[in-house]
Amino acid sequence: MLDDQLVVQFLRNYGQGSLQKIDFTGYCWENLIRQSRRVNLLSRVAYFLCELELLEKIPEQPRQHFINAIKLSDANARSVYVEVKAIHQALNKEKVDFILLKGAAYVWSGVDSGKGRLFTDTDILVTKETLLPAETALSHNGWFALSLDAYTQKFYREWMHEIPPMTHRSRQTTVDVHHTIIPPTSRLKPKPIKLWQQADAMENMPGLFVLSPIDMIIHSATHLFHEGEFDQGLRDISDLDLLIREGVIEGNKWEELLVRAEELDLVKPVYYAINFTQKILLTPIPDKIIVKARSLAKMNSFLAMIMDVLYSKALITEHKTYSVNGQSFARWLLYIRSHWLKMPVYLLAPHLCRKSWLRISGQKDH
Amino acid sequence: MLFKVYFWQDESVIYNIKSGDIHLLSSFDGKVLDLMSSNTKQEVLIKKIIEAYQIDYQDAEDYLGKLYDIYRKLSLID
Amino acid sequence: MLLSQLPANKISEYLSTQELCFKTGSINIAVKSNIPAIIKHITDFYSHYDCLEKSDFIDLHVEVYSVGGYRKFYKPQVTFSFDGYEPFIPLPLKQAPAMFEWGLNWCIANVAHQYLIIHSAIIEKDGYGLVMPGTPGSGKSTLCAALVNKGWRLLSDEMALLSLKDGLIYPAPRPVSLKNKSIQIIKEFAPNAVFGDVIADTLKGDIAHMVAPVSALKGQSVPVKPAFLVFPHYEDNIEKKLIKLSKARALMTLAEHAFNFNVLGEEGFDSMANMIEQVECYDFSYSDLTTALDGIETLIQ
Repeated sequence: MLDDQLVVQFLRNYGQGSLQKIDFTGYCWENLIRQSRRVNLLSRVAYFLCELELLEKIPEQPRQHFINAIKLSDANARSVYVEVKAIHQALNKEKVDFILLKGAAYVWSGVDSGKGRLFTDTDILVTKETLLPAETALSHNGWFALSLDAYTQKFYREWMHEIPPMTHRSRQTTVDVHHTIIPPTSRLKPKPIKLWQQADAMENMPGLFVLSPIDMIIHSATHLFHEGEFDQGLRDISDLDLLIREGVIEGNKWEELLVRAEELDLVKPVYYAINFTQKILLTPIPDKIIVKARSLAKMNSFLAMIMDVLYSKALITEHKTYSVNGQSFARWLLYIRSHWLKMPVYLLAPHLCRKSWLRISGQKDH
Repeated sequence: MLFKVYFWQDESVIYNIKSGDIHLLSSFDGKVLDLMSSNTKQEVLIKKIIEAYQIDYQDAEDYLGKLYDIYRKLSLID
Repeated sequence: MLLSQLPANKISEYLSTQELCFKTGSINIAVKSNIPAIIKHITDFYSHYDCLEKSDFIDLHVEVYSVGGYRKFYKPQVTFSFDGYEPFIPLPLKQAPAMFEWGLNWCIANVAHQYLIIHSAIIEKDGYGLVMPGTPGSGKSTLCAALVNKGWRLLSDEMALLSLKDGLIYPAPRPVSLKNKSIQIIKEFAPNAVFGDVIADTLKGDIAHMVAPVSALKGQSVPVKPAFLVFPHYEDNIEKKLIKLSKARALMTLAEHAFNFNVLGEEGFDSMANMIEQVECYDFSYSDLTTALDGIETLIQ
């Protein structure tokens, strides 16, 4: 089933996964374009094709879609420059240090997972003590929090790990300010201070940091396997594949990864990450490392098998060009699970009911 | 180059390559920007400003200083 | 083969069970919908469009369908999807045709980055391309609809596709969208023009679509060299005025009307500057249609 998906084939091994077998004129470029676009990976696939100097071999009409997708990610990269500079200017004045996270960090620091990466919001991490000063500094420089109802405000501030997202008045871009990478109400308790201790400072921008390469992997794994948002599942798996290749495989840093995951109390998401990147994108991760991670995460093999099945279904986004049986059920189970991980039970049920009410009445999901 | 400039009669339009912003300047100010980016000496620029606006040296130096500030703020020069 | 040449009922059959594929200019579209209003809209407005083969490459796969759940029975709604992605919140079912047209505009503006896409009408006469950017209240659609009933060829009433490769503007003709008072004005001005039903109370007011003239479809593979850039302004009781604009200011204003200016970066800026270099730029104020049309015609004399 996974091999049915052209986009999965194309993402393996920096895009070389299936290229040996392709007849460039007869290939179904249209399906690849549609699948890739649906999972927000068209720019990445296009980027690989461009790096491998294969665009010219593709017929003109599909080729134009790939070229246009590259323009989109180039434009995204330009906007990172503007956004990060503006955020830095606002926060640096108030001496608030911040760590750039996810897509913005990949693009800014130039790692492989920044290639063809599209994203809308800029995510940053500040310390708990500087959370409110950060919010104030941003609001003095053109950002404002969208007016949300009292329940949603409480949800963000007290139960989750964010102040509400802030939008810039004229650029209409959004910054999400975090002080932890998991909600404080979760069972897992990674200490943010440890992330700061290993963060890399960015040249010429005092107070601006990105996570260390190993921590980038761990954060990305936690975001995917703890947060329960699967629509970008394959995109996150692709990011992890590139981060792991560059940050761990190249320097053979497996011990470092597992030790650090244990230190941050995040072995389980890291186990899932290496298990599924190997399964889906054939990332060359030694089996013994996966076995070791599973045992460190204290997962019995029955549970591991169930999660295997659920996640395999959930991570693939449905599309007209192939079908995934049981996907919505799998996603529902995992969605409930991720809320269970984030919140005590007494908070969980009323919150979920309110979310479904919003959905049924047609209001926008957040 | 950090920018691109197009000149028409007495106006010019500047495109900031890194940020994507565009700016409308007088043709003269656009030419000064062009010269600044090719590291033309300040003295030469001051002389041009004096010729163009028929003002004294001090005013011309102040004007040039203002232009440097604006262009740096707009990230059009380093 | 044109859609109208398909065997009877095939349009509705393809639309509701698989996809109906046709092209406009250089853009190939596949549509799926089982909503009767959409089937009627396609039959009325797209019958002169070229059908595509199964083997043709499709640029845009779109679907228009009713929203499920209790909404099927209470204040029914319609939604638009571009290959599984829904860019809009659902609208009342009776606005389905308007949603379809807005949806296609959205898709083109988000995908066709081989062009600098300018929010404007683009029409042609005697080889001269006239670009009329559309600010709200400018009356660009009214002018456009009137001019294409007076011998001008319609390339588009919403989006000028300026090619980054050769600086020409490429056609993608579709039904002309008119709002509120303009609907009656054009119906009176061009009694032979074919209109769809008025769709009332949309976010933009009352909307009706006018069928694209046959000349638009005949010329859909023929790009045009832009010759005039005219910013129209409609105002009650003002004198007709055609004022030449400085090219620099015209460029600054035009950038605000370019949907994908930020996406294209330097390449987009160069294309726009080159276009400004070769066109005459005007601000055009008018208060009635007939004198407005005369004013436009003087440009190409």
